[in-house]
Amino acid sequence: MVENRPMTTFISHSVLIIGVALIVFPIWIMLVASSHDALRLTEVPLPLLPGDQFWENIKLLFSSKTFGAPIHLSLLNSLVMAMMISLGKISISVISAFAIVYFKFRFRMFFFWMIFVTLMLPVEVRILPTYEVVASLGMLDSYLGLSVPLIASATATFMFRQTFLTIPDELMEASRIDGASPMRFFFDVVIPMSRTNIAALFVILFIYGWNQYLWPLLITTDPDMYTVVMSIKQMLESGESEPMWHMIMLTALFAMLPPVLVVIFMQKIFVKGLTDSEK
Amino acid sequence: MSTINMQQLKKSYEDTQVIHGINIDIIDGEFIVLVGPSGCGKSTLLRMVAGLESISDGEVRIDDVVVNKLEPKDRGIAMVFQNYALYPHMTVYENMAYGLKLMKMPKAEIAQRVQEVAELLQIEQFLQRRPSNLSGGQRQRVAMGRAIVRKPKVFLFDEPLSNLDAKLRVQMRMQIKTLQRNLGVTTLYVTHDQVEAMTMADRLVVLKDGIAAQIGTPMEIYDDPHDQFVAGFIGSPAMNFIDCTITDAQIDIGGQKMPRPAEVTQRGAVVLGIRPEHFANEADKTDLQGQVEMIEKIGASVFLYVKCDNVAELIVIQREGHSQVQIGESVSIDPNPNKLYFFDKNTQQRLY
Amino acid sequence: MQKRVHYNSSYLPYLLVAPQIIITLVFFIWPAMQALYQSFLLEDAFGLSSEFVWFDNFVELYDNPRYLDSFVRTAFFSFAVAGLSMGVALFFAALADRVVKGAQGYRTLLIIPYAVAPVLAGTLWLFLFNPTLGIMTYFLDMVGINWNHKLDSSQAMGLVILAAAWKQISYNFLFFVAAMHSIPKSLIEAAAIDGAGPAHRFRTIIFPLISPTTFFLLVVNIIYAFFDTFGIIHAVTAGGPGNSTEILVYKVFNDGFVGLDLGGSAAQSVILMFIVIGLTVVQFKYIERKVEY
Repeated sequence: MVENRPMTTFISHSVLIIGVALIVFPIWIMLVASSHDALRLTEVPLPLLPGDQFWENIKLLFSSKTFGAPIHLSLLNSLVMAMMISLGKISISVISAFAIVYFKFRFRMFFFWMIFVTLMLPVEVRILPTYEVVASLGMLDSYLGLSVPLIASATATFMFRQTFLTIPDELMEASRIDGASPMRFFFDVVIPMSRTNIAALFVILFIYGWNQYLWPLLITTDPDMYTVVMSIKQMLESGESEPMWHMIMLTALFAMLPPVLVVIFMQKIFVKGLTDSEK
Repeated sequence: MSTINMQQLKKSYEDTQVIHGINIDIIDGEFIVLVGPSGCGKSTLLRMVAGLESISDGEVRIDDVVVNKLEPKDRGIAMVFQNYALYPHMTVYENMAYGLKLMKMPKAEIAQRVQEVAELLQIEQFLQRRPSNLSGGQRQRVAMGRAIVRKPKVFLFDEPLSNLDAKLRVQMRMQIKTLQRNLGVTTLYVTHDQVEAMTMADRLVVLKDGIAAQIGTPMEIYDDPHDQFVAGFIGSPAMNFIDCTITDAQIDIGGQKMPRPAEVTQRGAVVLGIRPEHFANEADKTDLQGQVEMIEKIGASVFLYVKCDNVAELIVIQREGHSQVQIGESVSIDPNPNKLYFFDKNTQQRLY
Repeated sequence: MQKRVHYNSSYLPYLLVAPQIIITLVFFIWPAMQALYQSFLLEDAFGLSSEFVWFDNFVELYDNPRYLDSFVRTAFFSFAVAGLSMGVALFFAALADRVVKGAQGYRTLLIIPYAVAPVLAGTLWLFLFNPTLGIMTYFLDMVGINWNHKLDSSQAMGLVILAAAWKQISYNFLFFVAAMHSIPKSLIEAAAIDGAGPAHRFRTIIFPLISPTTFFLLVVNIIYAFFDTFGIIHAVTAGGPGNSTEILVYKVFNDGFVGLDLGGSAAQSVILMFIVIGLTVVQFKYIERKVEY
């Protein structure tokens, strides 16, 4: 802050508070709706303040099977998929980036470009043939089918490559003199020195994995394999009557809670990792 | 403890050769400094001994064992890098212990060794700190500690002092030298700083364009440089080089005359080399005259930059500190006739 | 940029790149080839026989007004989303840059939409603007606006833009804040000494200096609007009413999985691939420039 103008500061804060309130408003309404009973949510105008049915609704949600898959199962599915995608992406990217940065080998640039190409093929544009490949490998309705086709990531590989390039060459040489093999160097020096990047990437990829929608929608037909994010849509479409908004909003709350908590608690590292990736 | 022999050592990258057949024999416990301008191949040579660069041709022997194909860890060497290359995520202790741990040495023995070396270098109080919490000088000592703790046959130093400030550099220069003498470990030391080279070396190797221009003790090289490059590189301020013509009677410097030393039999155009410190103080013999263009006072002495007619370069002359010479004044130039160096104009080889 | 020194090892590097290369080949390159191949085929409705028809599928798309409409719509949608979310984010970032106290708190709240899945974002906005129940619908009715995005196509488009832009504000905000943060304080102070007020400083110094970030974000936002908004459309309008919110990605899915027109869907995929390739090249041109200087 260059000059001291209490009035402009006050206005800045007021505008920010109003703005943030508007941004958070849909989430507030979700919380409110999930704490009222079904009847109240059919009366116009809808409530703006929380009701007292929150715990009742939770009990109902977790005991009932009328909303597609049992919620605890779909939450588990989401967790497994998100972890497999984020950890899988990190592992295969970190080792391939290590190979590309620290080794000279035939076809190195060829492999590099091959990985680069994946950046240009988001799942949405190759959806049909990818579905066919997964189907022919018998991976429909499985955790592998949910995660593996999304695991290759040029972004993560590039990010690690960038990080490794900033590690001084002399560290590798010092470790060679100390008698460390390439893999020892990888585990003892490269990985510990990339901890922050790995954590930041984990946040980004966990959210990416958890929030997958189109892909699980296509490859799961068994309700026991549904993820929580896609079950929302199922609930919206269930039956001809008005959707059960209080249950939908409560499910939405559970569906967004894990990624939101991850991003809030790892905020610092996430922001750093995200804005660094621009480089 | 150990000897190093380099025989016809060559290094090429694709089609450019950077080291052109170097022969050096280093005896046990010797402190050898590789010195030269940047790009002369001194670091490459060191890294070839370390095993960090492959050897294109020739051989390196440590203790009469050819090490060309050995991994760095199997050569019995330890290296100190210019930027220290300390592992930033490990404590000082872990940094020093890492190599020993990889040798599968028992924990107790590692602890004992690290402790000994830490005491020797007075870094015990930093053992649990990370390198980022240390000053430049402390990091430098940790890097040395990591090298010493391995009890190597050979120390390799790659410009270890160039990241330190001037005062610390002088201190560390002494410490490294003393330490090396006490430990008696054969040492190869790379620097571009000729003062560092002169003060530390038992013997110097002056490198130029991948060739060892001259090998010898510091004073041998100072007194008896083989060519114009070595003469100009060693000594500070650098030797003056003056184009002149030798005739039967005298030496002609831009029209001014100087007597010809009897032993100089060469005739024609040559390069005359005179060190700034080899002029008579306050001379009044007036064979050569010049005008003072600039004066540099460094306390103990004064350097005069003197312009002579028809001589392109300013001649640098050292006078004692309280000399009252003023800019613009005309001074006589009186080189010590026994300290004249003559170089061939084309080959730059020393003639006399 | 490259390392000066490398390890020499015969098999290790191949082992290390193998997992990623295998996955890339099986799930990226091979399906992309398939899409390319299928885009030249015409399959009958039962998938029993297929015929190689060269560029017929593409020609058909070119002649199909519904496809061209979808193209124009996607472009409009993308720029609207990018413009709206970047504008709002820039506004917040400029304010947040000015305040010292509480900046962390604002950021924490503004970050939340980033973590919300597109389909959930769509659901939330759908609930807010539900034609019979929605709280926003109720407010709009009070000021005399009759809201029903299930019938009114421009209202439908407005709603998906709003939902899509809402989700992206966090991302843009973080980048703008980071960019403003990296402007040297001395520059701002120099301008203040020269007598430039906050608004003037923003216009003449801050905004020009963050223009590389703005450009980067524009590309990222367009890619986002093109490909990552499927869930929003699916939840809010399902492309309706009457295809009025059917963007390209949605159409690929609809024609392929619902309409079972494999050749046509594949041809659309191929066109989309070229669009991503184009956008990626632009993005990397920019990144390269930034790395060099």
